[in-house]
Amino acid sequence: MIQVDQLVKRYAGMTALHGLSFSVQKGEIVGFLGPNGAGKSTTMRILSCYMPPTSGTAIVAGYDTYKESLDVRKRIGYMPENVPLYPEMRVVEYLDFRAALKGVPRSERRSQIEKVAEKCGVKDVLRRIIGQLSKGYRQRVGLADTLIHDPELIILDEPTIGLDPNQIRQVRGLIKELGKSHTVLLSTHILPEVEMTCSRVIIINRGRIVASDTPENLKRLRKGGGETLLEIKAETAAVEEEFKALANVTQVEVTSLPDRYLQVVLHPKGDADLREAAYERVKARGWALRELRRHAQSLEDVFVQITTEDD
Amino acid sequence: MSAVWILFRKEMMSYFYSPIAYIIGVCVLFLNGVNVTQIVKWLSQQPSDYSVFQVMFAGFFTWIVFLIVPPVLTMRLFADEKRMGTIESLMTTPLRDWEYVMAKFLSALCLYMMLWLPTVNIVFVLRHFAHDTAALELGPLFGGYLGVLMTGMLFLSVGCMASACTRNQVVAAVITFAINTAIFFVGLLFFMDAAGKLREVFEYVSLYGHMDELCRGVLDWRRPFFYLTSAAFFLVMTQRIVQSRQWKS
Ligand SMILES: Nc1ncnc2c1ncn2[C@@H]1O[C@H](COP(=O)(O)OP(=O)(O)OP(=O)(O)O)[C@@H](O)[C@H]1O
Ligand SMILES: [Mg+2]
Repeated sequence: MIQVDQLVKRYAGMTALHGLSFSVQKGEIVGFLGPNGAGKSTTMRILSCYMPPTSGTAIVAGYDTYKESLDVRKRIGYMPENVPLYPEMRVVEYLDFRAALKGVPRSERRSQIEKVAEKCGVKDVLRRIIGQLSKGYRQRVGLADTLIHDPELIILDEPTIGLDPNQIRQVRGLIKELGKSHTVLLSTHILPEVEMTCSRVIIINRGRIVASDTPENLKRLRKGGGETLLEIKAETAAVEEEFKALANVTQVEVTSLPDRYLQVVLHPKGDADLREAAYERVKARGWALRELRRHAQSLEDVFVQITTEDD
Repeated sequence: MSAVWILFRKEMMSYFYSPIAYIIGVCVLFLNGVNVTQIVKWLSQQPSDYSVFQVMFAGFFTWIVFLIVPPVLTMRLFADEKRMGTIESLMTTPLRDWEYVMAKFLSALCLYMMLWLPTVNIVFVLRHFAHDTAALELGPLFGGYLGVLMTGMLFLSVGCMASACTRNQVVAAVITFAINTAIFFVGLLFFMDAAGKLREVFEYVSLYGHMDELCRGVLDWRRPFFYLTSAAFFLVMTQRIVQSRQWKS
């Protein structure tokens, strides 16, 4: 669906993209991650034919975004960052205008508007003036607009920014739903969102791709991790001595908590799982135990590690 | 349905949703009212060198309308799309650059002509009350409206270009006013006894001269040609500016 090859974009005085290459298959939901200024919006603008790359090619739905931009534009739905809308129009007028512009025949426009309004939760505000809507509702109107012509590819630049937790959850659900029949490329800063919705993640940093994989595989990328956490009631010295003796433990951190409990962090060697062995020790010594867990790898850790590493 | 028509409709809607159309409408009505009192004064005086339509379409107040209205009508058109960022969602739909420019231009032209509609009334009122309608013949009348239309096309196309250059409406309006006034005054230079070829050039670009002749019912193919080519020039420039975002820098 998307085939990007050696994409370079230079703005006056600075290079935003240094030879980006990636591809997205039909039916995938791909999350585009990266710190501020990484070049996410720039890439999306190129893919949606708003501006051309300085060099390199981007093929979307089988057409070149520069040479055959009209064919590309017919097949995509793009929601820019900050969701620009005409404040003076009513929601229904705006959606009708956009539907007409995107070539939805007059006879289908009404049903189409009703369909997307239902999906995006703007049914109740159809008669309202856009300028008077709250940010979240404007976001939904923008989302409704991207879907109105049933595009093959949906490109969303930070679709959930500015939404309340309920709405974020709804939009996530919507994106997942869309992923069944459409290809979706979205950018976001919210990492749990990517984990929940995307089948693949592309992380870019300073105009270069630094990782591209499923969220699960990415999490394994992180070096270290997998620490075991315990909270027990015991003497610090005894605890240190006891756990240092365990196989596969490289380091033991003990901190006392205010309520006479100790928090113990066991760093494992490699991927070893220390929970069972640690429990055996605690049981043998008869310590009171109120928590025992293994620190889960989060995409956030991976993100921070990848994007702050010096290159 | 053509994209030009779709965008044109939206632009007309936006005009009437904003106070601009109403404010400018009131101003034009007022200026035209002043104009009519002038005309009536003229008619009741001794025979003069000027015809009614010359006063009506090429008089001082009319030129004020010609110079003030186009910047106001066009300043928002392209500048605001850039300021609000809606250009990004607009140009990622299957809308060609020239369709974008033409729709915007035509909507401004349409509103501009609507502002002139009330003057039709004035003409008929005058014809009704005048003893002698010889001074109110239909030929010069059509000539006058043709002049209004074509002057509008030229000045509005300049406005489109200026609006496409910037994201600031006020800047766009000032540029438009400056260029239009300059064009107008260059045309007046032919009154300064320039001789030979130079005089012909000044005459060719003299908006005042064209308007004056049209109001006397003198039709000459060179006049529409001048207006149409110059308006086309500014519209092509506009299209180029809009397209410049597609340049591979
Ligand atoms: N029109 C422009 N002119 C000059 N530089 C620009 C322009 N647009 C973006 N840039 C620069 O290009 C780089 C990439 O910007 P881009 O907007 O693609 O980042 P992003 O990944 O979307 O960031 P964010 O998460 O903040 O939205 C930034 O350094 C930015 O300053
Ligand atoms: Mg961005």
